[in-house]
Amino acid sequence: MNDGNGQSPLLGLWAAMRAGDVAATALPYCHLQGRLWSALLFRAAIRDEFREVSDPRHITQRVHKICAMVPEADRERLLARREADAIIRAEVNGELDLIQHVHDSSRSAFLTAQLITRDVFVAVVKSGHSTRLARRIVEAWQAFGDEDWFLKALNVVDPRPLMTDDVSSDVRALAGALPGPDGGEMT
Amino acid sequence: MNSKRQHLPVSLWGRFLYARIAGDLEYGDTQARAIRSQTRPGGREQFEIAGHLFAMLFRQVFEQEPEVSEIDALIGEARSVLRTPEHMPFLEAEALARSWLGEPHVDTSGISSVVTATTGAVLAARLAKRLRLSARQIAEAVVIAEREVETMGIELVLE
Repeated sequence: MNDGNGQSPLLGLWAAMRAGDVAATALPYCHLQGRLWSALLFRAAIRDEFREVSDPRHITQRVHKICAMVPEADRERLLARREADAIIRAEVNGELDLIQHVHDSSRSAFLTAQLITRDVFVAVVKSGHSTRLARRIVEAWQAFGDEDWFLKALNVVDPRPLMTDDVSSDVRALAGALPGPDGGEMT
Repeated sequence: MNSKRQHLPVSLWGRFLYARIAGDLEYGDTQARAIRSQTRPGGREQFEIAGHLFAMLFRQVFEQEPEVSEIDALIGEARSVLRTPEHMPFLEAEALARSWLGEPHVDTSGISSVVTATTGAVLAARLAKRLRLSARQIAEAVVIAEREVETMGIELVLE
């Protein structure tokens, strides 16, 4: 898979992050490339953003703060902050039973979660922590095989077939482009 | 009036709440009919009584700041015995409970009156049972909740 210029979407995203190009990362490739991208970027961003947070109250506060940063034009799309909060808790804390309670409104919940993810990306671009997030993307992909609850949840949202092989090759390209452990810009 | 009905709450919703929690079905039906026949029905704010009652009883059961997992366990327990658990969706119930307990950033927007009323009443009932409250103690607790709601400037609908 490539973006038409011979570059994989992940490498393009990472390049945009490293260049501090907020506009290029403000709409992650999830909308263009389907639900697997959405899931992968979501997991990486959320696990990075919430890496030191486990208390549900703190997660709710953080989600509230991120939602407040969502551009005015998108505010009306924040229809399912409660459900998005639950999705993030399930991701961060492994509270998998919460997911069954999200299904009824999963479409809007995932949209909200994606908007939250986008703003996490913007924060990453501004902070210059792009290498750390890129590593999280690789880690998130490696964990997919063991934890498929998110993909099952996505099946409710989007019936299109998964593009596992394409995504896998893009993640390999990203992993190959990443600097060594001592060469990154962040811890 | 039955002696156990002394010191009753003053509002229609407060009396209905008391009757349901205390298990006084006949009195509860009377109050339900009165609520249905109101010419000037109260707004959704009326259900704040149930929320205040829940928060008050919850703090008696859990003397320290509760974990969200304890709130979730109570909701799960309540839904398991409810004939209509769809009137108490889990995420909405959790958001309401956390909000009633004073958490500021929980999203409670768009939750219906039915869900609000059911959640407050059912959770309060579970806690009253756990505390083994008598009918009189339940009535007194509802009266306190009514006063708290009145101090918020909410007008209660009376008989």
